[in-house]
Amino acid sequence: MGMSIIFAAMMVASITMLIFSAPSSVLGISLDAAASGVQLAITLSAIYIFWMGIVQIAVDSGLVQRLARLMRPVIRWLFGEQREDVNDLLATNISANMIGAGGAATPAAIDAIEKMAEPEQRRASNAMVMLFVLSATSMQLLPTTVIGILDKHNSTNSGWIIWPTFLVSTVTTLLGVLIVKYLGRKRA
Amino acid sequence: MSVYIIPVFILGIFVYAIWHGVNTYDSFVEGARSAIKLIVGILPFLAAILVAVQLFAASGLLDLLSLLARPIFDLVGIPHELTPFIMIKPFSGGGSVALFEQIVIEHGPDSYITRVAGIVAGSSETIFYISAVYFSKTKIKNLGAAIPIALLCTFLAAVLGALVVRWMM
Repeated sequence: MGMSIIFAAMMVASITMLIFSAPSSVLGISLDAAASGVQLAITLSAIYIFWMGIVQIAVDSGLVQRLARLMRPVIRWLFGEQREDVNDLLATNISANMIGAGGAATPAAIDAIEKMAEPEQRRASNAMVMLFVLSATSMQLLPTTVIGILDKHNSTNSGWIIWPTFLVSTVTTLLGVLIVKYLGRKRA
Repeated sequence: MSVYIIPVFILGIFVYAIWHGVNTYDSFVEGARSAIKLIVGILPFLAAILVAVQLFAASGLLDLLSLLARPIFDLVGIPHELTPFIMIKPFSGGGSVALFEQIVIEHGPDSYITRVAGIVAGSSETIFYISAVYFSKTKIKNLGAAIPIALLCTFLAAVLGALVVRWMM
């Protein structure tokens, strides 16, 4: 499934509906949405500036490379044989995701995919689909945002959510990984 | 416990780097500089996906989709109070946080509904955001089975969450 198709289908269907229900709102909603895109980019730039700064320190000190060596068996099983620099980025992405530092995980994933891609490649490779699914199922040791919201509303036991979340996200992550592996084998 | 993880992690990186003679100031600035390039690269993709998602929500199609999904959700034991939340989760990070908070207010922070929603929130990401951003530096437009697999996993998180919470509470 391609993003171009999803985007086109959502735009055509939504605008068609709105022409019947509220034609005057189409432009306003679109411009507000574009503005929230800019707003989000500003928020994200702050998050990425901080985390990419921290990650660069971890790279320059050799910590990331050490982590990547430790994680190599797992990475090889998930993504197949990859170049050294890609390995480092994948290790960064996975470990950042696990501790809930999405601001460090996303830039690493974007760089990893750029480095894995051939110049004229149009279709995502198995390793890229794997990275995508791993990030989407977000296996997390601590759901910090959820706990934060529960605490804000005076939960008597916000930590209750940790184990079931870990259990469920582990199962869905494993399932996602197995499906990607199965489809990859069929394609190869 | 959980509040210590990130600060301890960051402190650990600094201590390790200083120990290995890294100029942390220069490194930080270098990393931060690549963040600016990254943001400029993903902004058009962010804008495109947000326009599509917000038009989709405003047109009533998202509600329609929720209505259509409800019988399926009933069938697999997902409480129907969660349908709008689960439907918006793949599209909008901010939207799903707002809906989650509404669920907490409406049903209480320690209720069954809230806990199932919390598990779904904690075990899936904003899929359409990832798909817009992850491939932004390449020409790749065809993501293969990535999106359907990710959506299936989100759906499964809700089914499993409903089961696990019922079993544990």
